[in-house]
Amino acid sequence: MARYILQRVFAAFVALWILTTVTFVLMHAIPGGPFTRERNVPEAVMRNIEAKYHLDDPLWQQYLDYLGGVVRFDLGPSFKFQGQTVNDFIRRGFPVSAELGIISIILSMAIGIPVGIISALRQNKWQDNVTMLVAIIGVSVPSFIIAPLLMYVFALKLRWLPPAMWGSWRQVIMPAVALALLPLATFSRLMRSSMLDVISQDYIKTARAKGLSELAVTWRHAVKNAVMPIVTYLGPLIAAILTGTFIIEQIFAIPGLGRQFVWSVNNRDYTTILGLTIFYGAFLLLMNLVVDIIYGFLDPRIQIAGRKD
Amino acid sequence: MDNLLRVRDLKTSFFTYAGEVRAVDGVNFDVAGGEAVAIVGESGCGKSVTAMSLLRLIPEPGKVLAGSVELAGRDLVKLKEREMRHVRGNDISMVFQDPMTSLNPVLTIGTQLMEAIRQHQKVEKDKARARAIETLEMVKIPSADKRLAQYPHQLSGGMRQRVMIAMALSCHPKLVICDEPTTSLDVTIQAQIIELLKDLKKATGMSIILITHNLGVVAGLATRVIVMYAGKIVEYGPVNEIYGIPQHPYTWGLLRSVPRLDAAEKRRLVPIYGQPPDLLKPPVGCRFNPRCDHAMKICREQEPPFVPVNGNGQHHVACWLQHPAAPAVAGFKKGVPA
Repeated sequence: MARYILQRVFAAFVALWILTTVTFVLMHAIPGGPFTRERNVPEAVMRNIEAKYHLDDPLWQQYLDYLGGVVRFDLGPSFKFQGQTVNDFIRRGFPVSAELGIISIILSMAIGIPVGIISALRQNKWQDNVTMLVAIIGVSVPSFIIAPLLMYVFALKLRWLPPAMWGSWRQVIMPAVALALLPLATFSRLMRSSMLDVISQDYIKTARAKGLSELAVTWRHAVKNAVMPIVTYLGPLIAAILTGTFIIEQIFAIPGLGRQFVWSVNNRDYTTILGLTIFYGAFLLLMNLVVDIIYGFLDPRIQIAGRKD
Repeated sequence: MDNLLRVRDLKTSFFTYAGEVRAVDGVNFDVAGGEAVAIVGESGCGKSVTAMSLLRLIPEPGKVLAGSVELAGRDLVKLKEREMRHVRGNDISMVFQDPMTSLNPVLTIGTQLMEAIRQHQKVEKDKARARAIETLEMVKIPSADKRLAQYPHQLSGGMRQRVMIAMALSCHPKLVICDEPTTSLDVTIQAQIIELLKDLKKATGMSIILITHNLGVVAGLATRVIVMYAGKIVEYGPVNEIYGIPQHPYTWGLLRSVPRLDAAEKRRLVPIYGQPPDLLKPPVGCRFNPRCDHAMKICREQEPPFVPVNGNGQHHVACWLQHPAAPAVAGFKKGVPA
């Protein structure tokens, strides 16, 4: 198992290096740089600024310098915010994005999975039809529609919740709900189809023939088998949601990582773009590794290389 | 003979979009205590649905419509679902066809064995464990205590079927239904499993309903045979009479399609031509008439009644050829096959 993890970690570093390189090249291929907009700056000052941030070095030099920093977990200074580093951004933004993300994922699983199970058990009955209709709406309506709608109803009309910003638990509710809707709908649809597949299996017939209650059949025999696709989906979902979601953070004015990311792209804040991309990439790779290890625990047929029985 | 199980006029249908499929259409039979009865017939003739009807485990959109299933005098059809659950696995248990798919891949053998025991006997975990080991030893699984922690994929097909049998026996059932217990196993393992079932029957005094299309398996285990065709019983009797003096043309067909090592000369296997009928619209009269070599006019018009064969009151057949007015047809043993 240790060997397997070591291999995976090594592969992850290779992937991250490729990611860094490609992002670096693409970023520099976009016309314009971090300071091109400040037109009235005299040429001498401009040259000074470029020298300060090593932008006058040849590209390969900049690339090697940057890699050197990444290896030391130093993602460099922001080109746009004086005196702030990309590490600062992550330290500040990630906890906010992660808190919002974890709450929405818990919310979406806590509702989506049971809903999927129930609609599978009541296949083609009204419970199933209603929940699947709602799920389709959840999948197809984008969050930039849901979020203002929630805001309008609960903040503006009913005045139950504060409309935006971050800080108190009441400010978490709306963005968390808006963010949870898509994964919730996806979870319920995944769980439903997976359960339908599992409950037609022979071992479910065996379990019934043993005289087990419907609850025991569902819980012990079906759910554990049906939960695999959920785990698969969970890995990238956690990485995507915890590292920030631009739209929700923008609408609710939440100082998270997603907003920072998009802002940095618009402003050609080279180090921030690179740094956040690497952070997201590393997180995604980590989550995929965690998912693969969880598989091994959920399904004994999946042997994690090197594990002896 | 005191009957453990009395099935009377059992009717099970599936209500599909196309209409009502009468999978089991008025079936009667008895099983005595300690007896092994085989139900034979080709795929889709209603054998398995009959078995599942006994346990009331017919999947949607199927339904047991009529009839009674009396187990030791208690009509299972009338029981509440909760009471029925106590019958399943406890009074009647089941061994399914494919041990590769009938065991839950993510639960250990131990969990799957012990949950049935704990469900019905309300015993402590260590007692259930002891019972689980005991049943695994009964089905001759070596190092039984170590198996409890193993998962199904770590066992061979034959071992898994032994586990299935152990599971079925764990609560001392009165009746075990074996639905094609050997079909997915290779031939040497088949013989072992049949031998095992025979020993277990002797040791525990349980009754067995053996569902199969393998007539060799029948001969090894059962004392009586019920031949089903298209949801109905067409012939039943003691095993030696079904093999020795079969009366129904369908039974002849089944027997002719079995290869024999002891045949005096080489002969071709004769299949039963055609397909089993569409049970949405079963043929009028005798259901076998479209495929029967000896079908007469009446076979296409009226359903044949059961008539006794051989005068011992045990062997019956539903065929118009038995009617005094029917022309003499050379029977199975009188030279028609070969």
